[in-house]
Amino acid sequence: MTPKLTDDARGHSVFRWWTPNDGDEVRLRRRELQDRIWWSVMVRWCFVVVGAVATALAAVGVLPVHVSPVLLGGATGGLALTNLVYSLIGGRVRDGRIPKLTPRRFLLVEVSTDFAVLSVLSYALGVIETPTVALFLANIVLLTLHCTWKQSLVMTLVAGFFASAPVVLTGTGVIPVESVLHSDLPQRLADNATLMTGYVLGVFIIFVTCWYVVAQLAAGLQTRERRLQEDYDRVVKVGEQKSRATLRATHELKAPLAAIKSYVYTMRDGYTGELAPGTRKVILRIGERCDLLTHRISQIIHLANLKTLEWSQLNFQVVELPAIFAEEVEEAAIQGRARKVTVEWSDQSIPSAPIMASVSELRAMLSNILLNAVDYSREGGVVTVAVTSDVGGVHCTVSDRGIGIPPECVGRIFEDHFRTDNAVRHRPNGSGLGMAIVAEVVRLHEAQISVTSKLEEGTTMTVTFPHPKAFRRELRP
Amino acid sequence: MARILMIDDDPDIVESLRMVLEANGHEVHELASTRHVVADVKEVAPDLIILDVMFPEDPQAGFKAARLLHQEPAVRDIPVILLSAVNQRSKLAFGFSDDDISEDFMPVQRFIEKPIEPQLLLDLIAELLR
Repeated sequence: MTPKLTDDARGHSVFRWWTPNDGDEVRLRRRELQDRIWWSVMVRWCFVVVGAVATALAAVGVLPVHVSPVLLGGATGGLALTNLVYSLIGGRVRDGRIPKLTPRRFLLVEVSTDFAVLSVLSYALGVIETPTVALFLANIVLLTLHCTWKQSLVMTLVAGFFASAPVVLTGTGVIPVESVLHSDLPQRLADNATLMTGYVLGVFIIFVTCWYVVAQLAAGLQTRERRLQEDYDRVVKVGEQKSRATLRATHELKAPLAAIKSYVYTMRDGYTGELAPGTRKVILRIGERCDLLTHRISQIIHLANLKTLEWSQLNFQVVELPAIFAEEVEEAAIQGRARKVTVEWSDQSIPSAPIMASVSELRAMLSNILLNAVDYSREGGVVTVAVTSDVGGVHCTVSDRGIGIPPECVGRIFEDHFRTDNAVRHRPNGSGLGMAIVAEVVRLHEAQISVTSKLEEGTTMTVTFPHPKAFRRELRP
Repeated sequence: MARILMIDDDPDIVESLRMVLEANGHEVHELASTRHVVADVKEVAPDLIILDVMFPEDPQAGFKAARLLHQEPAVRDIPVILLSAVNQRSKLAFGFSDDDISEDFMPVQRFIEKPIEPQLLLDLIAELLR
């Protein structure tokens, strides 16, 4: 049992509701951050396409506004070039093959170049004539969700700098004023120092406010995530403790029986001297009752364990049902030989039928159904098995021609310790737990079980498993 | 015929198997704990070890003892039969099976469920000591 390893970073938030904590760091799961990097690369390609189309239209003078195709093309080209570089190295960053470039640093570099491009774009689109500055807010939100609060605050201030740069540079005469709507707003802003200062301050206030609001919302979500993670860890720990306790209980109950049975073997085989026939008979009977008790203990503990299990605690994988079924059929056939009960495959059975299953529990279920069919068949009887598949699912069928189940009892056979009167007469030492175990395993596998039976003629049980694609579909995004 | 060391805290298992082994000419030594397993095994110098899995001090003491013995050059070649009352045939999710035998995880020659049929044990010992 090798321990399960995970490389997911634990998410936690240390923001208090009114202010961020000094020196604390917000971390999200690495995979989510890596997915976000790829998502932002894809979004940029969309902007590149829009920018390229707009540049082409501006060049031929089709656009209803006056936009410098040189500036627009430059911004689009810069975005395309940087995005190409990000696309090429993004995979290596994701796999951790560039040691100094973590996903978070990569995101900061991406966003920094975005700010530069947006600054140029804002200038090209007349600064205050168009709401281009609002595009900075999308990057601020992205940063606040994925970076430490210090990093995101610094980058928010950097965003403010880049957003204000066109206004300041035009106001100081470094670059000429651009207007797309032929209005005098950009010129008036550039000529009036008070307006310019107010604009710059306004940009910083809006950006920092946005950062703070998103940070608080993110903190709330991340606190909830941290608590969920802690609850999950607690559940896993309790599950492990329960498993250890169950293992210990199993051992404490079975070990004494194993010791008794070991003495039975020793006496049976004459290692304590010759046994009188009567004594030998008693010794063998002690051994049989030990076996029954051992089996019953296993069933009780197994059933108790199953009732508290959720499917997420088991190792589900795609398996070939016919192959696993065949192994259990072989074991049941061996058991049946003593009473001349044969187990045979139906002609309609198919060789391949994948299902999602926990192999150990699946085997337990199949074993219980098969051994039930064998045990409740009459001497010389035949048990027929089959695996078939249709749109409804994968069907696993076991039919016997044994003692059958009274009609009024068919609905009760999955209750703990329930046995019909005819079953008790036929086989006094059954536990009544086999079908209860089957019912729990069916539940965990999201399967269905149907039972048809006629008294004195036999019983057919069919377990229908969902196809792998339909398994737990409601939990998939 | 062979010197066999039984490491098991259950005196009844030890006693019942001792009867079988000594009746077949083997010399049987016993240990009830794995606390000083390497030193004890070196002292006894057995030809084969029958080792229980669960002990009061540690439910995995048998596995750990098997790994310690495997790491010690002086005793690593002594065949080990691991015994347990809980295994895969118990149909419990945490049982082990012969498939778990490996150099790193379970460096033993066989993994057997208790109780073991006397003739099966004798045949197994003969096979491992051949």
